[in-house]
Amino acid sequence: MSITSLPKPFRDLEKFVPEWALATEVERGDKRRGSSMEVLADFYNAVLPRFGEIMSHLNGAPAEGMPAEERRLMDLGLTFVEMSFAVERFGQPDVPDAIEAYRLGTVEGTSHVLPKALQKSGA
Amino acid sequence: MTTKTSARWSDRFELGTDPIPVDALTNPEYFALEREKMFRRVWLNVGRAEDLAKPGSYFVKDLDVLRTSLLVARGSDGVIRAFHNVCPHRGNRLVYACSGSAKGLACNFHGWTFDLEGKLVHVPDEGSFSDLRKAERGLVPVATEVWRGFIFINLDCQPKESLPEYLAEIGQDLAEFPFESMELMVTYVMDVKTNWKVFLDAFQEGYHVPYVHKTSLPEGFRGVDVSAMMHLPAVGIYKRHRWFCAPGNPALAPTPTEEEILKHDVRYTLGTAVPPEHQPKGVNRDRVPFWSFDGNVLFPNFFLGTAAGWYWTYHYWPLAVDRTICEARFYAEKPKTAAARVAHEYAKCLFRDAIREDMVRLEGAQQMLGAGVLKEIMLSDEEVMLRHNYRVVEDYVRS
Repeated sequence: MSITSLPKPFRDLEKFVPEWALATEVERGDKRRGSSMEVLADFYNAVLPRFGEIMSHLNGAPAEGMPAEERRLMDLGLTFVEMSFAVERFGQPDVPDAIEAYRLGTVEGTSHVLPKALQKSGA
Repeated sequence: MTTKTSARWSDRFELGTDPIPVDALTNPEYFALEREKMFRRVWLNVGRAEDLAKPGSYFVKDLDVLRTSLLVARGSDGVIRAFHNVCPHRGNRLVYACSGSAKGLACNFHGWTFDLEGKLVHVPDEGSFSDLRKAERGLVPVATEVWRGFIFINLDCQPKESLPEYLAEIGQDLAEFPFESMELMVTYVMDVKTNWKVFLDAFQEGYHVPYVHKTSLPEGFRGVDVSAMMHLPAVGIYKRHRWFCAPGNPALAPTPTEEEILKHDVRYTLGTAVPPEHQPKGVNRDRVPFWSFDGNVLFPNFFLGTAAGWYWTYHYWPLAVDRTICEARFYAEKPKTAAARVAHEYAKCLFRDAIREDMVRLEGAQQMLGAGVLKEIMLSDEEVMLRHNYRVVEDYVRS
């Protein structure tokens, strides 16, 4: 079995895993902004017809500590969500007429404490 | 009575209609007065109690606007306290880490050690000091109170009001909102060359929505008439705090992705009207139809947006008259399934893309306000919340 495998019903989406099953918001955002609309549309068009099934499958998996195959499918779903904004709302990879993405320091997770690099107002 | 009638907000709240002097946004002396007379004398939110899960947990918050670094800790008695992050021996910064958990904190200069209640418990070679009374050399405390899990501090040694007295009506309004059932998903931190009030102002009116969000949310936040400007259906002005109700579009058509998302935990995304039966407690005070979210501004620098199934916060921390760090945080109901995590990601990313649109004007505005060409700026009646903020800040500055 390949280490990149998805749950059985989704093996046809396997080819997207290496590039598109991305675990962090920053990686997904970089992928979105670093891709052409053609590439984003190809990914979007391939996954959209399966998105309902993906969500139904993930509905049976816990939010934390799910098996590795479900984790990959969830990451693929998270990436699909990020790319959907480019295709469905903006018609271009990034948000037009907005503050540059690199200027948002992004800290995922439940802690409010900022890492040192983002504590710019420091003593 | 705060719902929209034919009467103008500015008349009903007796805030006048005069232009606003630009000085308040560009003059370093004005900012110095805000810092000394306002920020150092009001209750400020610096974190949430869940970051101090156990006795011994602590975190550090550096606040340039207060010219200090704060150590916020849960003592062995379970009480949350804040201190200036300074060793009383020779003035070294006591804690250099961002957070941690410990029974005691040792200064890394000479090893003076404090417990998490601030008491000085150990001085190496104590006998070399003359007349050192350890009980008098504990950490310098800062007034600290917790409201609904939000930790507030006040640099005034003896605050004139307790936190509940300070929050007053807005605290009561939000008393039942289910903050505890939600958890933080993400923090976005932005360092922007703009005055803190220019930053806040971008988020306390709906006048900008048809322009700034024309691509991301072309028909969101419009009530039933999508051709209309986004007029606020309800506004509340208190002594210092204020709130508005944002209208939502009940006929907002979901995108294909959103259609699937809405089947999994996320019922309503940005711009949609939430029917009364799905509105959480503590929102929509005036029961307006087509409610979307409430924007609550806890004076001076804490914005709290309360919605159905999620909430978000902005903290505007000034560094200078023309520079502000904004911390934006997005909270959602704790996900039970992997599908719910994907659904929340959708709501979060839509929020993030929309606030990036909100922020693009801030530096251009500050640059040109600073050019000194304009002496005053104009506010419409839909910008009444800004008018209130300028009034309250002015009262502190002139006090």
